[in-house]
Amino acid sequence: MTELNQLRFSKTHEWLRLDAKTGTVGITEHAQEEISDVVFVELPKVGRAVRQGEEVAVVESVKAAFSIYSPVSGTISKVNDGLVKDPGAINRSPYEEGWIFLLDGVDGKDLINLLTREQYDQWVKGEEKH
Amino acid sequence: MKRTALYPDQAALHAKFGPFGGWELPLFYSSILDEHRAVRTSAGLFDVSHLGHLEVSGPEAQSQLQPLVTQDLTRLEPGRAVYTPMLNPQGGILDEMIFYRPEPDRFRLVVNAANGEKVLSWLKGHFSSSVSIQDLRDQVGTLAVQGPKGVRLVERLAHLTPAQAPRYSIRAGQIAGRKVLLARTGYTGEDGFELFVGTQDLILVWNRVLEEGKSDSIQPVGLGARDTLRLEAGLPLGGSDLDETITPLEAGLDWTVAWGKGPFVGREVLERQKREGVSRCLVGFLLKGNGIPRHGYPILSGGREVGRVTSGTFLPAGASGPGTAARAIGMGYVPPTLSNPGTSISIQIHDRPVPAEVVRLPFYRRKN
Repeated sequence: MTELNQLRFSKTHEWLRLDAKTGTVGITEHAQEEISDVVFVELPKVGRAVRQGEEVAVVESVKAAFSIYSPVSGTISKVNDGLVKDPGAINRSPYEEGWIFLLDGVDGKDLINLLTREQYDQWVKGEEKH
Repeated sequence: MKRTALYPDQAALHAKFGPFGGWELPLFYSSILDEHRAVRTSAGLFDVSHLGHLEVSGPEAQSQLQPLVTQDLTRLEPGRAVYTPMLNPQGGILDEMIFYRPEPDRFRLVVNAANGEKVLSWLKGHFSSSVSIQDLRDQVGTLAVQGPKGVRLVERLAHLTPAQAPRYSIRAGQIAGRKVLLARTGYTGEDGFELFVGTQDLILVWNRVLEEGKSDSIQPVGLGARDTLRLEAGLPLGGSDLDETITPLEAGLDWTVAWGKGPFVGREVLERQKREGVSRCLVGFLLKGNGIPRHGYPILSGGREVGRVTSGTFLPAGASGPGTAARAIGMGYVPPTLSNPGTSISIQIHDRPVPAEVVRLPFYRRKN
């Protein structure tokens, strides 16, 4: 099981797990609940250099398309091809099977702009009040 | 934003809410796809109390309403219902609605949530004599029971025999001891009933239907599945596929125009379009590549934009019952030269053109 306290979160509801200079990115439990039934995922191209906050993938549910932004800068080194056949993995297992892409060459300094689990939970609560 | 009387009950069922036509309504309870499948295979219960009920009554009701709609109300028997557009002088669809005629001199108009005020003032502005208009929007709610098992369910609850309430009929009845108007109509492509219930009785009737429907695996269904169901059934949605600049002939609603009746607002424009042809028409299409078409995406032909998608979604395999194939479907406006089934077009999805094929609507037709 993923230890959620070790993840970092963006205000746009992506999570990042950093292991040395490689980051794994997916969407949060809260995001998958909001999006509901994911039926299609548009994955980024491997080798693409992306900047923090750049739109890199699209997760689509029956009701709408949701843009996925890279929580940190880096180069896409791998994508989760399994999501093409089984996009529902994002709903079932957002932190494990439902990961979306890996980033190489991540600079730890980028984490300054991300939230801890506790901060993210607070942020979600604040958003729901609107 | 307005909420229906059932909001607390829906919140207790873990509904996700979203805005629609000035209302905060349940988008889904469990999952849009589960709810879509439930309506196609067993039964679903919708709270559509955002629909606006207006009642026009009096000996002159028929003659005053007749010039405001495209259908011929002289052919609408008491106890029956008919779907009809209401046009502006340019032939554009001001709103489309079902006209119910529970009694000879009483018409119940059930209009789109966002258009209640507009239709009300339109009626008032056109009536010339002592016709009574009642605004029932705060007094009446609507529950829709839809799906192959939904009909028997309502018949059981209201103690009806199958012959008593045929398709497109309306009759007074009782459920759980409360007065209800039972309309054999819907917006899902399935058979079913719509129940017009006093606001104060909504909770009671809602709970009674869920309780009696347990044996039919009934599920509460949100607006998300209502949208995918109506799209799959090829039914246009006001505000998305229809607006005040689009005529019924452009929207594929030719069948709602009773040419044999007398004058009605917008008739001249429709006659000219009938003579000279329309410049765009609403078509259905199937996506041939990856992606999901959405409202507003450009439709391309020969690399040029020829129209826009007005509705679209993706339904995975099995969404509409066992054996149904996965497909991305949509509707949009194209020039008539591109409207024939089999025509190849493309949909611009996130900066890339994805091939699609024009197909005959609907995408789904019920078997029974």
